[in-house]
Amino acid sequence: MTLLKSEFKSLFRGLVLWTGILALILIIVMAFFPFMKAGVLADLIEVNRSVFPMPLLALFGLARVPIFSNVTIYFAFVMQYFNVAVVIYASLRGAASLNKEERDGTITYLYAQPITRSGIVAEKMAANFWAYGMLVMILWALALILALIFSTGSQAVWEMLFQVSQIYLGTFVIGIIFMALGFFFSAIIANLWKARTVAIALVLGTYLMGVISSLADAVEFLKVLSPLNLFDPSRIIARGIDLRDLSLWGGMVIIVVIMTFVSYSKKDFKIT
Amino acid sequence: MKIIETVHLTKNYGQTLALKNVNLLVEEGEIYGLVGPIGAGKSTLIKLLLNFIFPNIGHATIFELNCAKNSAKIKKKVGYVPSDVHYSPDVTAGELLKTTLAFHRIQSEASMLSLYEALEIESTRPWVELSISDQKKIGIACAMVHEPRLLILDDPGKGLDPAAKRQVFELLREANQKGTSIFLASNSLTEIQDYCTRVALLKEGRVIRIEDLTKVRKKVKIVELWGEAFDFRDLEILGGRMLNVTEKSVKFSYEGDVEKLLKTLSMMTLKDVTIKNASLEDEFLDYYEGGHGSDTLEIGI
Repeated sequence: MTLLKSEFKSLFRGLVLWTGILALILIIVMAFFPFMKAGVLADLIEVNRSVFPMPLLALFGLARVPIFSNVTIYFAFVMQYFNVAVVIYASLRGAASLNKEERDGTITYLYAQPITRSGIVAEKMAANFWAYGMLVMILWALALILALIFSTGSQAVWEMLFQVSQIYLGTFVIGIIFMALGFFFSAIIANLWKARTVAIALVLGTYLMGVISSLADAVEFLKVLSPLNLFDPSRIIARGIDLRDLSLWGGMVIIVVIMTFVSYSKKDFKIT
Repeated sequence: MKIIETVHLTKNYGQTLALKNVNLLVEEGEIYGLVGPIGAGKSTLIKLLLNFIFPNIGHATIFELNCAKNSAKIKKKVGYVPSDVHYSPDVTAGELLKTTLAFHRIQSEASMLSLYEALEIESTRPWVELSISDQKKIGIACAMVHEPRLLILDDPGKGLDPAAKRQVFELLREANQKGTSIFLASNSLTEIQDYCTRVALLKEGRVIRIEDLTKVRKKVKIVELWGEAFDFRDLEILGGRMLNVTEKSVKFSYEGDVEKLLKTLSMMTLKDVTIKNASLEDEFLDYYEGGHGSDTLEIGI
């Protein structure tokens, strides 16, 4: 528990910063809803469809722009971008968690204490999951408030809050997946920047895979490899969270977490 | 009780041999030194003892527990000071020592307060504002705050100013008198000579010699003679081992009857003579700079 507390303390400043920035962006973007609900964006895209090729529109999530008839549809549209930012936070946190001690030389203090390597991994994971959970919870609470503020009344309140909550559950799941992958990279790649680069490349790579999967039926199977696509907010409000996808990626997270424990317990620490 | 034991301990970093077949035994209550040039394998040995890295061959035990398998259990009773001490820039000594106590589940802060006093530590200044010497003192305090049975120190004097060095070594001596065994690696032969009871000399990853400093050094003399010509047959009779020979001077080590030495010297035509007890530095230079190259080395003469 000592490491968990000190790790959380060290994460706290970054958590406040990220939460503040994301909350501000969410507020600003949601404030545009009254102007967007009449289908302004959809019309704009429709008019310019010939100018922008479909792959480009798909890349930016504009292949199919819905009419924002209620706030949750608009919120789901906004959240597809927002999710990328949240997932980058989770991914960076994971990728910097274990190797940071080696880079900073603080591993010589930490591992001189009566703690096992598994203990280090477990407590660092717990602190990072806790920090990430707090970020998502705060943004979720803010989103509920914003949904109530900007509600048009065309949707039952409980339904609106339930859909927003489902979207955030999806966000939380995606972040956990990429954070777990980040942990693994931080266990096997001693260089912090390399680990972060690989983690971010994976986020963007799987996002692109999701985009490609939406362009042609022949490559639709690729969407399974893209958590950002599988737990896409618009998809969630249309069909809910697919339990099969959740189980698949849940299993993947468990495997990656086990691999992290095993790799970390066998590695030679690089001490400068 | 065996405090530290290494058995055929070997470590490679890829193709580079860092440690080769190291066999050491540190008994309870000892201050055991590890000396060798940079790259000799001192830090590698310490990293293996603390399970920062794993051996390729052999094993190490502390308190008769395997270092790789019982690391957390061992570290309840071990304090470690790395050569360079690193912590987060904004952490204070007070926070660090309290965190260390928390890791060891120790409620009382008595030992922490006594270390503040003994080492003149400022408990509230952030790490980044401290001098290297003060940072090192905090590192040493962190290693000692839980009153360990074994202290492992990698170059403890590095970074310390002379006054702090005296404070620290006094504290280490006190801890040793209370029963703490000490295993220290150092490049400073003076530190090893002044404080250690035994020393292992490392060269290119191998232990080339283990010496009991409480006995051996007192018997070995370093004799240096200046003159116009020397009759080496006289020196051969003495049984001295040549360390350095020039046209006008001879330096040799001698372990034997002092009266015989003086009698022999009195019969020689000399311009000057110095006789001193062999210091660790003499032996170190002898072993590292050319005297011995093999694994099986004798002491002195």
